[in-house]
Amino acid sequence: MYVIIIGGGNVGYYLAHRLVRDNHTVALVDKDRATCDRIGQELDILVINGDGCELHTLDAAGIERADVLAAVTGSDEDNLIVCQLAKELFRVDRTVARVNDSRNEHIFNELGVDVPIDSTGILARVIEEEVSLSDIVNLVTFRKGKLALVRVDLPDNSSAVGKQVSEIPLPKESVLVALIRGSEVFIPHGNTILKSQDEIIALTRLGDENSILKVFLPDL
Amino acid sequence: MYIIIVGCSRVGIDLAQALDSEGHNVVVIDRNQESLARLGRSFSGLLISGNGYEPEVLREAGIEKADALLAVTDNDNTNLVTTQVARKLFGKEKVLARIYDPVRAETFQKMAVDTVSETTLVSEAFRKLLFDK
Repeated sequence: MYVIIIGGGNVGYYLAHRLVRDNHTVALVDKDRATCDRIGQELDILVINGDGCELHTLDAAGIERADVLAAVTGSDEDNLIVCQLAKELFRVDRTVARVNDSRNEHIFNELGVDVPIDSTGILARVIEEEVSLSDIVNLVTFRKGKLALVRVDLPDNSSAVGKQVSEIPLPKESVLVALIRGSEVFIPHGNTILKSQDEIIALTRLGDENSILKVFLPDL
Repeated sequence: MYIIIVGCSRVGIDLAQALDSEGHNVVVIDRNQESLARLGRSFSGLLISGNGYEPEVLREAGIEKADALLAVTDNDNTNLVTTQVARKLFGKEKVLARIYDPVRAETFQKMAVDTVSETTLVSEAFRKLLFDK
């Protein structure tokens, strides 16, 4: 795939590095000349020094043939406008943008960015997962927040302990995806028996998390 | 008219003072408190410090009852985002963005964002004065 990255900071550089490793063709655009020179020396990619919001810069980066544009600068305004230009003028199939301020995620959706990535929110959720004492942890949400991957730790006194997965009355639109037991990971089947302290990873519709909790936690 | 001005730039100040003295209800939003202070005591409108495209800030400025929004910060992209938020999230019709880059102004004009291209206006003024008696 041909990917254009706007923004040569840590995120842009690391993204370019990974994409090249996976044999994609990458062009990177940054406003700062010194940043461009450094990246040009380190990575074997096309590096353009310029403002990604200007059409001649996008042209020079080969936007006509780009499959994806990823706008990862530290400015939400710049990321939004670059994606809109890519979409409206050049019909780029997929635009991905870094959201710096979580409060702006909604605006990215409204203004037509295909995949807004709320880096602060993701980081906060990962940290929350590590420090959380709550019974259910929301790991990731997909499809603009309609689906969620959640984790529940099975307590000793849960009625689900000792039961087969097939006996557990899961909410209709939820599936168990994985079981983590100590250092082992299982893909659960109908006849898998749950043990106390299992970490259960389930895919569910957002809003159904409480129904999942009810199944695994002892009655309050 | 109830008019929201986003950006207490020189253009913002000039617009705010003129519209205020003409008897309009004017609200000025700027991220920087010090910029707002430059409006002076004679200005009778409302001042709000905050991000002018954040929906909460716009609500505080009374966007729901506003007749118009003018985005006149010194940053083209901020102005484009602000006007689109006013239009798409709040359904406002009369929203205008100040844009330096004529190409960007033209591009977003095609996307139904009303823009005033400063560079084009100045260039036209020069050409007019050059050839007019």
